[in-house]
Amino acid sequence: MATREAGKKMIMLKSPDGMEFEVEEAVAMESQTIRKMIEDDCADTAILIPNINSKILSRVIEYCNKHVPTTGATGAAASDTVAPAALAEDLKIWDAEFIKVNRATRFNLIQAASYLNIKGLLDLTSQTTIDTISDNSLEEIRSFLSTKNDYLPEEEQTIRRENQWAFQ
Amino acid sequence: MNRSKNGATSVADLTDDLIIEILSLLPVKSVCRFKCVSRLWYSLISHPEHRKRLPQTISGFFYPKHRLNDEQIFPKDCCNGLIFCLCWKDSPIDEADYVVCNPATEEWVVLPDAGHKSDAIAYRLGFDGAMSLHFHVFQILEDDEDYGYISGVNIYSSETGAWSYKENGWGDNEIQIVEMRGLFQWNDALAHT
Repeated sequence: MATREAGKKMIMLKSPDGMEFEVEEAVAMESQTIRKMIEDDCADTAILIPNINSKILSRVIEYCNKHVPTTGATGAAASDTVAPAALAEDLKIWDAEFIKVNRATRFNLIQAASYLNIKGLLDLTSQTTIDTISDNSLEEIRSFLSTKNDYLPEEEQTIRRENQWAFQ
Repeated sequence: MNRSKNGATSVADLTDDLIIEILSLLPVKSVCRFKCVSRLWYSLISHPEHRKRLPQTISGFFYPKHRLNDEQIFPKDCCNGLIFCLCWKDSPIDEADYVVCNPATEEWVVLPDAGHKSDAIAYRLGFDGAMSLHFHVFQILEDDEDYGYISGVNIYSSETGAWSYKENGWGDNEIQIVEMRGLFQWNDALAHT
């Protein structure tokens, strides 16, 4: 990432696989976890983000870059000239494109959003997951979640009977 | 964050807390369906700590004793998620519909006229989704001439969609009704007091 214009405080984020990402402090602070580190003076100029590999971290930074309040990035002008509703609509379209990723990446993004405490990203990734599976059959849900059915056949029958109304 | 060898992440890698976070976005009907996915998910969803964060079927509600909307609606009984109400009509004002509704699915059924002219002293609803998807409504009838004497019971079955009448076979003692998980037992009150 190129160094931004002078005057903006930059933070270096490091992934455990050795990649470094230079981001504006305001962008990094979209993550409540990082914000807390910075506010508590626990952060040096470089912060190691454990558990999140460079591929996922770069996507997270992409998300934060897009979602950081526009006044922070380009001065007050952006939010003055664009109606908030249009801005929100634009973000929604951008989010929809952003989340078009495979299942593994989406689960990784959920984990990253949770660890870094980025509510918007956690909501987006969770909601998309829910939209994918809420109307599916049990078999489809199990396959999507890569989880095994460990019920005995008669157990499953009983549980299904108790929750029969949910299948109608 | 553990990943399997091929780098793919499955839901098993998500913490319980994250799974609940995701499930909390689901409608209650889907959460109930998810109980059937696996034992692990059943225990996750049923855990008392998690249930607080998940959508719930109602376990009770408050209602104003006077008028609700334009009609007078009186919840009379509830049983395993179904509610039985008397809904007084606007006209004629001395007539009421018997309605059974399921607030979770927002479905409701107006029962046909019981066709029995005796006074009903109590209504009871019987339903247990684990046993049957059908419910029963019991209308306890008082004898026309003998005050306090239960002459019989009208039973509506949602399976047949009709009422049937059973005459009192217990003699003239007072009768108390005890409900156990949607099943009814008719106790002779005098024998137990």
